[in-house]
Amino acid sequence: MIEVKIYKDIPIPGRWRQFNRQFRQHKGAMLGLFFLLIILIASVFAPIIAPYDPAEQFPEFLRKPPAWTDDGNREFIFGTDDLGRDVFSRIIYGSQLSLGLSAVVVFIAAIFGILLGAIAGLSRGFIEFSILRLMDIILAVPSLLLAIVIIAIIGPGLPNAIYAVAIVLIPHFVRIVRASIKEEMNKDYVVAARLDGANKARLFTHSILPNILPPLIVQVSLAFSTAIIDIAALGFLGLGAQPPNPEWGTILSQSRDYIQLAPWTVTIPGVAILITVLSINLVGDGLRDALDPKDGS
Amino acid sequence: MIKILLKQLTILILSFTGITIIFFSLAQLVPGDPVILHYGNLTPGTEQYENAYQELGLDESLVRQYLIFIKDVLQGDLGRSTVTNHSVLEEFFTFFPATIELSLFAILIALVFGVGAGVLAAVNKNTWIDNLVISSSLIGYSMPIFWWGMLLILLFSLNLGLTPVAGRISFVFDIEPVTGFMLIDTLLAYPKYEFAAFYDALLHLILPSVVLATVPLAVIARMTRSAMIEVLSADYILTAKAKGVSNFKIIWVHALRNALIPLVTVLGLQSSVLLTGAILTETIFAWPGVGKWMVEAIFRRDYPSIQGGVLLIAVFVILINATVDLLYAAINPRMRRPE
Amino acid sequence: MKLLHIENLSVEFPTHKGPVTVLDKVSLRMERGEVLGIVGESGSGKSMLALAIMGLLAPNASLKADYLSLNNQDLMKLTEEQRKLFVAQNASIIFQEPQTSMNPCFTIGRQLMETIELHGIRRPKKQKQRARELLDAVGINEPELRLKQYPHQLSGGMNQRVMIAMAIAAEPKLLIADEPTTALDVTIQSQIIELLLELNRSREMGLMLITHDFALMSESTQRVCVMYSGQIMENAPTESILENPRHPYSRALLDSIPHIGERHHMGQRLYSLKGTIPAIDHLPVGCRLGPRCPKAAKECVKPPRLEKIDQHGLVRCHFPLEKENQSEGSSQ
Repeated sequence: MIEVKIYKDIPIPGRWRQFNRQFRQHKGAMLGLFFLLIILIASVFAPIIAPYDPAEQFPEFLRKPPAWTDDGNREFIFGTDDLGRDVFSRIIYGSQLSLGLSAVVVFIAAIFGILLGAIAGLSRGFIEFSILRLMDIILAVPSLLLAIVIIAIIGPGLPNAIYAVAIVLIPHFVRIVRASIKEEMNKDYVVAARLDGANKARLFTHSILPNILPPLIVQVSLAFSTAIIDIAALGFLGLGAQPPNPEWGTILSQSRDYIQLAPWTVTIPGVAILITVLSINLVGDGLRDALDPKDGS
Repeated sequence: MIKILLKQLTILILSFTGITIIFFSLAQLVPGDPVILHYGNLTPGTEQYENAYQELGLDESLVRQYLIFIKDVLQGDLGRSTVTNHSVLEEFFTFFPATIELSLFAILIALVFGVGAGVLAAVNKNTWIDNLVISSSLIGYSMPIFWWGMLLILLFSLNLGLTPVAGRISFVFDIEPVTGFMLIDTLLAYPKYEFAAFYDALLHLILPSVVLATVPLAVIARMTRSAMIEVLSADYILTAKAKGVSNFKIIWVHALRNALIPLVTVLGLQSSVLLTGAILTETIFAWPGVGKWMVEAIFRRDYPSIQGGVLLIAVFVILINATVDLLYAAINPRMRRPE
Repeated sequence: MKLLHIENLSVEFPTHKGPVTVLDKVSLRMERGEVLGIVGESGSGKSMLALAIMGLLAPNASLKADYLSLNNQDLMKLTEEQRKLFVAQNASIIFQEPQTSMNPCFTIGRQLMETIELHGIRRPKKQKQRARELLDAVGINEPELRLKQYPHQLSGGMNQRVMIAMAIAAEPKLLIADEPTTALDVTIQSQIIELLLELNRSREMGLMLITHDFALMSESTQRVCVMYSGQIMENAPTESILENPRHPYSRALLDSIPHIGERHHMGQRLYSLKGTIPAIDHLPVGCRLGPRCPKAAKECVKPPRLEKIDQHGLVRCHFPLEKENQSEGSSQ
């Protein structure tokens, strides 16, 4: 018998397509992604894009204002700083540090955080309790202060700043992973996998991890923006990257004394930090909305 | 209620023990002679040095040393600054009121404007008001506040000359620190300068507290908005509407009362964010608080001050979190047991 | 005297794909003290109808009606504020989930007294007195204690009674009960229905009982409206619908009720319609029941009109069922 279809079926899109569609609808997220790509390209191709070496000094062009002002020079789009270095080149090279360092930081924090969170989530009693208490204590110390203390002990400098910020970010991962595991463990599909005889490690990697990926991805984006701000803040306080390193926070702390003489050396690096962090947060918001099935109606 | 209180107390004690253990361990990692780190420049071999050595229990086991450390901490002995040779505890509490004053003012700004903006956005969901609140809170949330502070100084202090650049009060005023809170102290010194000193102190306070309030304000606005949107779609809001309750009362009494519950938790988390921000804000505005004091201690390698300061701040944050948990239980009737 | 008179009430919601119509030209009347049942699956628009009458639709919804009057007052002629006040004084509504219908942060007493205050009793002492009376009227014992408790401290049935107490505080002429017993235990269900019917008799209060449960209707209502996909499919006295439904959808709803005491053959299954109710933004052409209707034919791609059938009521179908013998029908 031939079945005549008078009424159309509604196709239900798959998970990825649905996510893709949701994300594309999020105008802010697309804008953030666009800026993030530009910054990424700038940092990867810094040697090609930047007209000068970030440390190169032009003694005849000290504190030259940006090109769009009356006193500006076309050779230096964003002007020069008090040592006659090209601000534009320094910002471009600085993006390498900001993006690269925070990527390393987030990677370290995520690995340790997920591991500890998984251990805490899959175990009970003393181990879970002590991990959670430890994380609570880390959270109780204001993040920057903790980083400062760690640096106070291991000494200032870029690598140490990375460890410090990474340690500060771990507790959030632990909490999210543990809470999600506890939540997922009670669901029927995990019970089914357990009845099939899956052990804990397999349960985590095969059944639970794919399902807690959405909150984890969101947390990564959050950690990313925190890392950028914290690294810049440490640089600003003189505890992170040391001058003449073109790290954005370090540039800011250097140009602080010239805020009235050369305000552009203060505003431009700050705008760079703000746009980068804002882009990441926009993308993070888009990811959260697109990954959250609650809003997917 | 007693049960919650007991639970909080246990957590408090456990956290305190944990923190002291961590700090004790960290102290072992600090390079240098522990006696000198604790008591400043004592020459090895002198009687004073030997006494200090004994006092720290350095000739005994680590556990004993820890217990001595704990005993000292509980007695309020956090060592002496290696730079000023003052008691760390005393020094901390001379700087602490400035930080508290700044933070309280900031949280007040954040709460008033954050809750207001959040409610406004939720009520006018998907309008330009909502979009404005969402985008400005996103910017505020992404703001590197050390730069934001500099920007505001550049604009309001240097270019417009409206606010002072740094400090808590002009040098012309000689205010005796009674409470440590400048706003109160200037009022206590009323007959001397009438209100001039108070206004001056207030003027000094505005810019730093706006800078410090920025991130919490953004977080509170976002949080309030989403909580309010959720609450406003609840059945009991329909019930209230059907009863004929006025819109104003529905939003500011029925809905906000429920939306405040998740907000309290956020507020607890913000205490840590606030103190982090205070370090940066105090550095930019030369605000004589614990944040600036700590950063300076690092550059001077004044370990007893760093160690004691962080310990005290951590305890302070834990205390705030415990208070917030209690507050949460108090404002959430669902935490009460069925009678 | 008409208690409720609705002519061609439509409700639309804007979506990014254009407006969708969730209620399509609904017309119905209620007499004073009448008990009217509204039946339909979830998503049929029956709750939307209740919200539309109460003026509780979301602000982005647009409501159109040729005529909409409550207690002889044309609601469409009132301003927003006037309408809100008038409806609050003349009609009340209770919802499916009593636990979530009350503000979890306020005590029972505070919520009851707030309602009482809105209806003109200013003095707290009198408010409390009235609150006790109301709790008494809905059969709640220990009213003094209950007034101090929070909703989560009471059982579901008790909360629904409190909701009813709140609803009758204004002495309304119409009470809309939107699935009032769905979330409750079976034993509590009949108690709540009993209470509603008793209040209906003793206070001459019209009752609109919205439910998906035909069995519940049969015992309590005088007239039944069957709704599907935002339209009224059949509107007739309860008795004639039960005996002899004319719309295939009503028939299907009736046939899906298990009858206790009747003999069932082994392997015989309860009747159920194929498929599910269509999404409101993906309605089939013509008759909305079309794809699921056992009697669908070519004709059904044209939208049917709600037409009168003598000695029965209104039916929206191109091929209304014939009058048939009752015993035959249910054993098919």
